Amino acid sequence: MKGHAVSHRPSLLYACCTVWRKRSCCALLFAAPYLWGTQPLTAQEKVEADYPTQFLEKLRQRGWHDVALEYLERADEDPLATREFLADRDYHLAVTRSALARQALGEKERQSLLQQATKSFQKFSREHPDSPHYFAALSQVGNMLAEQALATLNQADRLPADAVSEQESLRTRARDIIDEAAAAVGQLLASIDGTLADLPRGAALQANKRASALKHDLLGKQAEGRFLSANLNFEKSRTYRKDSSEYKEALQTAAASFAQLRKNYENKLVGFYAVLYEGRCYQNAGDFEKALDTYGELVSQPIGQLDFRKLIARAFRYRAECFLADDQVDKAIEECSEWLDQSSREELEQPEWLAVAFRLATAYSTKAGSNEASGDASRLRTEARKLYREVSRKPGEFQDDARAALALSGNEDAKPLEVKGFAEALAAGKSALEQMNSAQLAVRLAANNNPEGVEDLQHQVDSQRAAALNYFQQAIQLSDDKTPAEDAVAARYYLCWLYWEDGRTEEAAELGEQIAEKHPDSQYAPTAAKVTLAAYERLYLQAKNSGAPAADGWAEKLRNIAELIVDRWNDSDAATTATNLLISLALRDGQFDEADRLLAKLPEKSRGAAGLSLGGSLWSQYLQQSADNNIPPGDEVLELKSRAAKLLAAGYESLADARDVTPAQAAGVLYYVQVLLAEGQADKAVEVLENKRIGPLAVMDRGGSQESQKAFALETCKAALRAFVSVDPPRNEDAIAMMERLEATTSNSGASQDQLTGIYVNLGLQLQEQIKELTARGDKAKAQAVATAFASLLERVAQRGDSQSWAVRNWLAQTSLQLGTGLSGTEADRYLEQAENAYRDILATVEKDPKFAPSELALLAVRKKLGEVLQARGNFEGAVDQFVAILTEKPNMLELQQATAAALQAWGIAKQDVKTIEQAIRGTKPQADLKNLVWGWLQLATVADYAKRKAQSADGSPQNAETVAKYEEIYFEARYQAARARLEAAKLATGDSQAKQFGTVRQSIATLKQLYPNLDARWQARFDALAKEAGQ
Amino acid sequence: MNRISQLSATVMLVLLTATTSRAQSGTDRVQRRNGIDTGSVIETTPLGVTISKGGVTRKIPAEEIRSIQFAGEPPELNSARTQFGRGRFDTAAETLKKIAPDKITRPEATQELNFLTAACLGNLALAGKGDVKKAIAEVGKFLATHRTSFHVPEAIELHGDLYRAAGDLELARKKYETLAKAPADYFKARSAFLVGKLLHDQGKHAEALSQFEASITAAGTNTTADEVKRAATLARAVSLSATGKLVEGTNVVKQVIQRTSPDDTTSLAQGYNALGDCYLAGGDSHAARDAFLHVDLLFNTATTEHAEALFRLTNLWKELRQPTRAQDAQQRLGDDYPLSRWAGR
Repeated sequence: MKGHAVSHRPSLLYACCTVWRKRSCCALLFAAPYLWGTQPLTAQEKVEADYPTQFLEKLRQRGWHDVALEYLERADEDPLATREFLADRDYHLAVTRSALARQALGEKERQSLLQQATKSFQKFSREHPDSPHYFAALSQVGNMLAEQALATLNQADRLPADAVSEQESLRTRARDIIDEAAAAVGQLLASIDGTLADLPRGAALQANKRASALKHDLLGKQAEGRFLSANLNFEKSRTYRKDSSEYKEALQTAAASFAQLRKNYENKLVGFYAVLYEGRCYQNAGDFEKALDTYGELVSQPIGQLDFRKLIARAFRYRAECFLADDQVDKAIEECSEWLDQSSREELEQPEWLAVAFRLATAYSTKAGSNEASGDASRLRTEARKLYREVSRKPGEFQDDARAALALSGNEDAKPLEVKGFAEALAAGKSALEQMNSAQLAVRLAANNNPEGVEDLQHQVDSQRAAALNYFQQAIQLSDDKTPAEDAVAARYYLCWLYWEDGRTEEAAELGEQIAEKHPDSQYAPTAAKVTLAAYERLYLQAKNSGAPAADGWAEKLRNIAELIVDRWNDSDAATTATNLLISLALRDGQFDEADRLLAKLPEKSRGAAGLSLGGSLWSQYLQQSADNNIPPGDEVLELKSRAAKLLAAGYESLADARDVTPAQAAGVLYYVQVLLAEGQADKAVEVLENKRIGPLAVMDRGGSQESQKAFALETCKAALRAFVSVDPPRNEDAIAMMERLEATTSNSGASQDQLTGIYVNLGLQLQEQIKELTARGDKAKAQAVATAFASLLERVAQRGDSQSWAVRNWLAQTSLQLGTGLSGTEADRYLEQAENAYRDILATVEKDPKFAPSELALLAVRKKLGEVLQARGNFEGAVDQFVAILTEKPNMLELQQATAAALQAWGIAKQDVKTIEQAIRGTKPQADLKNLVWGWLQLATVADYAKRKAQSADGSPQNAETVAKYEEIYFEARYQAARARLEAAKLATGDSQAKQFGTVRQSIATLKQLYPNLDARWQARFDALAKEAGQ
Repeated sequence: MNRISQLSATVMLVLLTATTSRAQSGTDRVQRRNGIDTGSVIETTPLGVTISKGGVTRKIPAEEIRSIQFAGEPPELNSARTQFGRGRFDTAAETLKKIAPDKITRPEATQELNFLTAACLGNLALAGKGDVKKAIAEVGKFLATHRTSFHVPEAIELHGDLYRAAGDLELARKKYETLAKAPADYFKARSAFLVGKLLHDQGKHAEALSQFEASITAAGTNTTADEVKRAATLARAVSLSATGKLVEGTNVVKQVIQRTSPDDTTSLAQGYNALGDCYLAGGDSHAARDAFLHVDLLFNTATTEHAEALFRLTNLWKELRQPTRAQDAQQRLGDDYPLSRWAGR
């Protein structure tokens, strides 16, 4: 027999008021034990709590859930923490997290915390099936999942009508959550059944007070579970389109469940509620007659105590909805008026009665619309406005709708008020704010339904905003010591928010900071802190981007508010944002360790998300800092990469159980893919890309039309394309599909098409790098596989119309050349031939259209490249001719002289011709001035040495130092190659001649070393190796 | 008023009625730590009193005496004593002023009047509600005038506390060290403990540790000194934490707490305050906050310890950027313990 846990009735009742606040089923779902009638345990029956439990309760009573959470996280350090208490810690943690979630003002943050709490309850119920809290934990799982499903459905309802795919995606997700909730409730009910079956019966039960109390409690939980189960079926219908068969089936299932429930709990409050919900199933299915009959069973009941009257009020509200849908407006007016007339003043303020009032207002308004000609229309409209105003003043299900209806019905109340004290000013400000919100809502509605009314409504928004601003400013001036503290904070908070919306950033930051620092326990403080954070961030970025010196000052303020948020609301999403900002600031100052420390300070659950964000930021920095391909990244830059990789990997792992990701998290995952690709882990990259829940491809498929989502799709396609061609073996079909998707993602404008070509070219460069690395590693088979995949990419680029551009054709040719030089055999020659053709084509085009070449230098480069291709293909003569032709025009180009000498040397070696090798050393092609056109290595060394000395004699600027280094490099290279060429010639000689030539090689190296006793180690090693080869 | 204080008020009322009649019949009443002795006090010395009953005399050491109600003393004196015991030093001082010294016939009662007057003044000064220098002079006067009073050790300690509050740490230490001259384990232990606390507050943790260890040694197995030994053990743990041995320090405190009876809320409060002090010394504000919150929320019937916890929490909440909670703690410290030494800090 399982132990017995005290019901968490207060939290459940609290939950029902918050969870269902947007829906009309408030105060029911979670109050089932109450409906069932569970009695609280008497004082004698209560087990005396231990000190840790008492401590926790006291913290909760004070609303200090933040402290409770921290205490629980390190409860094992409490010397009085018992083993039993620690065993239940996960349960207490989950309860605390759910309480914190309900304290959160923002919906997103609330949902995020609820998800964590749900996971904690799930974990607890999985690991502690014998705990006294087991049933409560399971029940919480069902309730909280239901809450999340409803929030998701409400989110879908709030989306614009044309966002069909987003709506569908949210509804599908809601359905998954409902199924999960139903499974949890099923498990709860099965466990309860099992435990009830094990309990003693009859007299034995009567004699055992504890068992008796347990049975009573379990029956309450059973009623709760059964109701929740039926209600989940009802809510599931909302996840389908109303015209679908699934929608109707879900409603039928729900109606049957409620019918069973009313039978099981006849004459109990839970049974009556089942009647109401059964009616709602018929109503939603469009069977108004059956719905009216069912609701009729309730309204005909004798009206008793308040809880039952609430039920009756709801029945009247739904009856009115049925009448209105069935064009029986008068009937709706008659029933609603009668019910409201016989209700007390206090009742009229309750949500159930406000709903009836709203429906009555709708009925008046509808009747006025259909009786325009009669004199009654004006009276009906006045009645409707009066009711709308009452409903709009109270938070609840219809507040927004009432506000919108008021705004659309005209705004004759907008006269400025003369306020006499703080309270009046605050009330006037709130009222103006409400009207502003109403008008804003109406603007959104009018955009679809009444476009010509938008301008007028927007005017109302502006004038109410100005009025609200004025009233709140007056309120602050009028506040004094007697002003209730929370009201004074409220006035400041609203003003802060209006300043922020108005772009008065500094003023918003100042006010928000005051609230956050001086009144951190206020309900407004967390949001005020967030506004302040955003405001200082904006000010900081503005100053930074404009190079203003104030940037440091704003950074300091930003740091302060971020630290406050992290200290005070450590468990919130805002703390994650704040920590990210602090981390960014630390990174700005190069404080990597500080960034790590900040990350470690975050609660574990937030660390993954923050790590993703930080990793993404580091990765971006790495990409920026390593963008210059000519400079190898330094240690600091590599450190950035390494940290980014670690953080992104951990961040990705932290999302293992996530159903979905936020846009920021999705970007982080995509960065992770990029890192994996950069590190050559294409298989892992594909695995992440194809993660069905959180992978970039899935996120891209869920899609959206916003610019940011398009950019995400573009980057995802790029990464996926690269991954598919890089995996072993390459997934060519997927790569081609991705190219098509990429092309579909890109618009047809010229700029976009250029961008697309740029993407391909860039990708080609990345693949080239990869092939190079694989070849260097000796992994020729893999290099070959990547090259094959790359070939299809090249082909794709070649097929594109804009491939005729100089840059692209040059890239195609160069890429082919590099691929060819990286491979061997016929495969290499295929690419080299492709390169030769490409270069010849370019030159042919220039011949026809000299303007095709962007510059003379660019043209020379292409001609030189053609020479290199010819040389690579073994056509040394052609190569030398090509170089000589250029030298005829530009004889003093050192790089060209180098290339020519190298070609001659290679040619000589290839045909074992000492004369040609000698030409490489001493030059050839004498001109009219008897000087050689082709210098050869020795002359090249002399010229380079001269140029170096000339540069050395100039100023010692860094540019000159670079020049000196460049000529020095050419000089030593020429001397080295001269020696190498002599060595090769010697190898062709025999006997004494060979010995003599080897001696010459050695002598020339020895002379060089004497001349340059401080020769750098690299050259020293090369010359020594050469000398060794020459027999030294 | 909670249940416990209601109960003690009732007990006090009964005692008051009973002792008045006994006082009229010439019986002195000695309230010890564990029980009550009645008879005639025939001798008082700084080390204790000698009481005679039915021709049998016995000595009661000063450290065991909570209070003595002397036969024939003015009734206001006992009222003042009760008020003093509850920490209402201001009302006790007012009550004492109503007593005409020339109408007191027994020298022991005069000692009592003068001691309570000086002690009220001293405690008010320590709570920031009076002149410290004046209080030093008054206590000094008592010590000079009533050398045979059993209150002398208590007055010496108060003298030391006042010098410490005045910033004269050398003199404070000398006063505390004077206590060690008494040939009793309790006072030797008490002396070392007080010197240790003084040194700890000066940041001389190594020296403080030696003093606390000396205190523990001096207390030995003497059950009268158990309380001091326990306090010294906790204080030693705090000093250990301050020297960087946080884990060692907190482990000691945790063991003490675990060995404490769950009903002994005062000792539990002292334990958690010490735990909080350890964490404070180790720089862990969150853990310190949790420890002091135990005293605030669970063991708040221990008034002195609760005042201390509220004082610490006031500062901790400020440090943790919770000004509203800090204000609340400060407010409760001021409202509930206006005359405590912690309110005067």
